[in-house]
Amino acid sequence: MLKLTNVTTGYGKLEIVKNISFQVNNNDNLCIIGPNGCGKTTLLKAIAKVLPFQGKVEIDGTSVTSMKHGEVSRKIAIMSQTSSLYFPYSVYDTVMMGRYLHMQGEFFKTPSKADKEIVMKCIEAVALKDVKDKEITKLSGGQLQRVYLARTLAQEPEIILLDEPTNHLDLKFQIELIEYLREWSKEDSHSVIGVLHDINLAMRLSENLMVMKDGKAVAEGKAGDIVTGSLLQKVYDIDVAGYFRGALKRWNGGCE
Amino acid sequence: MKRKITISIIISILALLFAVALGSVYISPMDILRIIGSKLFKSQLPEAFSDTNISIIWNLRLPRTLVAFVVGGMISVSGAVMQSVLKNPLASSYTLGVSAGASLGAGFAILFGFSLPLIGGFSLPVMGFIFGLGTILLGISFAGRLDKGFENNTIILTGMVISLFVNAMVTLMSAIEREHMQRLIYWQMGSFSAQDWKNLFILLPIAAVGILLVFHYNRELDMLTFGEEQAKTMGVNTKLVKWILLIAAAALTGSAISFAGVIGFVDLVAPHVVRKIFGSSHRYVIPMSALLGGVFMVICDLVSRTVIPNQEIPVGAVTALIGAPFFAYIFFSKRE
Amino acid sequence: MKKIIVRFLLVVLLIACTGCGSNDVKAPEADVKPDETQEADSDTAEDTTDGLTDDAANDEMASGENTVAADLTTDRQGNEITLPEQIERVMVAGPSNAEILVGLGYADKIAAADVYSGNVEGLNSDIPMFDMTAPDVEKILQLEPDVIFVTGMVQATGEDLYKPFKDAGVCVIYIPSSNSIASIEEDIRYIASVMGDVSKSDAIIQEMSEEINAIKAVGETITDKKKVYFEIAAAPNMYSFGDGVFLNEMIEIIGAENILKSEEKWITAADEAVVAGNPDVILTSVNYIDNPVDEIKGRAGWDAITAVKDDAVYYIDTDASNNPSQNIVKALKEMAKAIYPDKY
Repeated sequence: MLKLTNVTTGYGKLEIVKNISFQVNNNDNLCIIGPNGCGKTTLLKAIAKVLPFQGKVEIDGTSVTSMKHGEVSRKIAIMSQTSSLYFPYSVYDTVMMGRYLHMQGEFFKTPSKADKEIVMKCIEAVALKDVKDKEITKLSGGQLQRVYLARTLAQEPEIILLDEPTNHLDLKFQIELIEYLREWSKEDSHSVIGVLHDINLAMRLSENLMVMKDGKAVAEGKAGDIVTGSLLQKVYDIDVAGYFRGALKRWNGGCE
Repeated sequence: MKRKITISIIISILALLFAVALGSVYISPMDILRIIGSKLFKSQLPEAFSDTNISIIWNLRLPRTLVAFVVGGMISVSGAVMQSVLKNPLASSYTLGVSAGASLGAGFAILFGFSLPLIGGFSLPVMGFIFGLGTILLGISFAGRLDKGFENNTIILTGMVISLFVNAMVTLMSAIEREHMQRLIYWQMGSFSAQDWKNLFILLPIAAVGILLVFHYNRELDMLTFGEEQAKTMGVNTKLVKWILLIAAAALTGSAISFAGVIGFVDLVAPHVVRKIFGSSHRYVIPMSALLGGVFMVICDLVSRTVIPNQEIPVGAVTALIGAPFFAYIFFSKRE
Repeated sequence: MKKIIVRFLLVVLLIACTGCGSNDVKAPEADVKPDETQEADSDTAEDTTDGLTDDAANDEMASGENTVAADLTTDRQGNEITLPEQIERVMVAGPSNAEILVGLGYADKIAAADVYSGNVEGLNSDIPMFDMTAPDVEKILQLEPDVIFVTGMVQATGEDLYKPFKDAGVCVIYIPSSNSIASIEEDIRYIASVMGDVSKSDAIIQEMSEEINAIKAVGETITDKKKVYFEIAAAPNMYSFGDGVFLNEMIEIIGAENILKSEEKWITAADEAVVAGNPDVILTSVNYIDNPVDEIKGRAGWDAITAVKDDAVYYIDTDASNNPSQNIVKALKEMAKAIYPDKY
């Protein structure tokens, strides 16, 4: 269970995220939507304790600030956007990095049989078994995104934070990813907090939504309750609902 | 992979043998083995073996070659660490000021004829090491203060600024005390000429501790190459790990160049070649950099003392002459 | 990109430094045209011709030529020069030049000297001293020198550092470092001619020849030549020399043999080469460390060398052995005594 209370964070003196509070229970998800620059990614970083923040972030009642960094990472994993890579690790090795925290045992930290099994399972889950020894620098954007997903899954967190992970994926994989995470979040005490551009996918991933603009939460609650045409217009500065309604009409019409 | 490693080890042994076998003076391989054997097993050699030949093998070539090997390994590992931690293929301890600091320390030792108690003849290397490490520590802690996130760019920039500053001090010293500075200039060019067993026995433990420490963090090194944030989210205590790795790298380079002078390029070339052959995983990159870096240095030292008979050219020039085109080839061919 | 440029420059610098290792400032020796007497520039030329024919017989070391005034249209490097009518004030860059001028009796005319000449005996202690590789042009010009004698050492970088003086009308005379004793004597003769009285050099050269010949006489009798290694810089970059350097000539005159004589000019000696050469005597002119002799004896592996075993490692006066001037005789005597203590 993740609870935020009045979280404010930013870079240096610049405040990007202002006073955010919400709660996500086990097996529930939350999607955060909003225009670029509204602070979604920054908020995620604060939750994962990558950025310092003011306010409280609690996991199952314990504040993350009182937890050691390693403990936080056992609970929370971020699946980031891909960045420029220099070093060509293999897919397998990259996913194995997700097991880092679980391998803290001996001096040279060799992976155990369990580690190896989990890694293979995750690689299979993202359908990359055929290229498991290929260098990640040689993969397509979509494949790379799936490697990162596998790595995040291998970390076996309770909470996955998704940072716009669908940018490079084609529709098939986008949908598959969302569906996979929906199932994942139903297991154990998992939750997914996703930052997504696509409102439709966001609403598919979770019922709960938080709409952000300029660092503040403009609306939160069940998607069905809060998402209205006028809200989207206010937040995105354009008639989003009208535009999609138009597109949907054309689609439906075409499918007949 | 196993095959590549075995081949590398074989090449290393061959290179070492070659280096001990060749030199200004021809001594047959059989004789060399007998000399080494007699020294190891404390047995007597027949009269026919001249004292000078025995001395050449046991007191000149063998320690020199071994020191070159260890030094090459140390600075190659240091280079590999720097490149990975700072995510910069051209990063090295030199950019962060180790060589500038070591030169300053060496300069002081030469200028004031420092002879610290107890270590006497080692004053020069010790001063070099202390100042070299000190300079880089200054740079890193400055960066840590300026930037809470301990970003790579900050580290590199502060390192360069401090390095330039310290270099300016060295230049000033040279200008004021021209006579003594001839020695400093030669020292800066690097040489394995006066290396003896004592030096080897000091460098070996430092190398062992440094390289093992770095190897201990081989997974973290892998993860750091994905960037600070990603490494953090995977659970790495990035600030602490970076500090430890940078200091270890600086210590390795600092001690190496205190004894051998400033020898460049090995720390750039060796890790890149190793990555090309063995991939990027640091559990291979670290030990193989040590091995192949050592071999490269041994070969350069061999060239420096045999290319012109009876004469020696500074080994730093050889590493640059061989290293630069080699490095250009590796680096630019990678861009495909 | 910037880093690549920096690295590239470093490579170039390193390569350049290796070039610096061998400072051959080789200059063609000035033509000494023996039968040509000089024009009005030196009034005393006619006088000297007369006096010289008498000295010629006594002077064996003039390479068989008559000891006449040197050709003063060029300096010792072959550059064309125009000597001033009168020479009252001289600036000296290079201790060998200073020693020669003092030896010729012109110490009073020296108005300024370089820092390294500070040790030269006979020089006025209160004259201003300059860095000869970075001469303070303004200050020196203020002293109004008529002539500046410059040694070859300043040309190591390739630039003409003394061009500003030439442009200001001062006569700059380059005296490159001589590689043989004969050439040193020509330098002395030349400088004497420049100063207006070549006969002043006669006495010096005479004395030099006598001393050298005395030693040579003994040297020629020695059949079992000792092997010698002479270094002018200590470990780890030991600087020594082979053939084509006056020190090598001196070793041979003494009746000994330089273990590196198969090399040419100045070299950085490989430690193996010295150990394998196994010299009987080691000489050093190093004076920038406290105890050069002990440093040599303490080198790893050098204890196998005969010279170290026999404790035959000696220091030779640095200035006398480095500066190509009449004072090399001092070094010669020291070396002779060191190599063959019972013969000299």
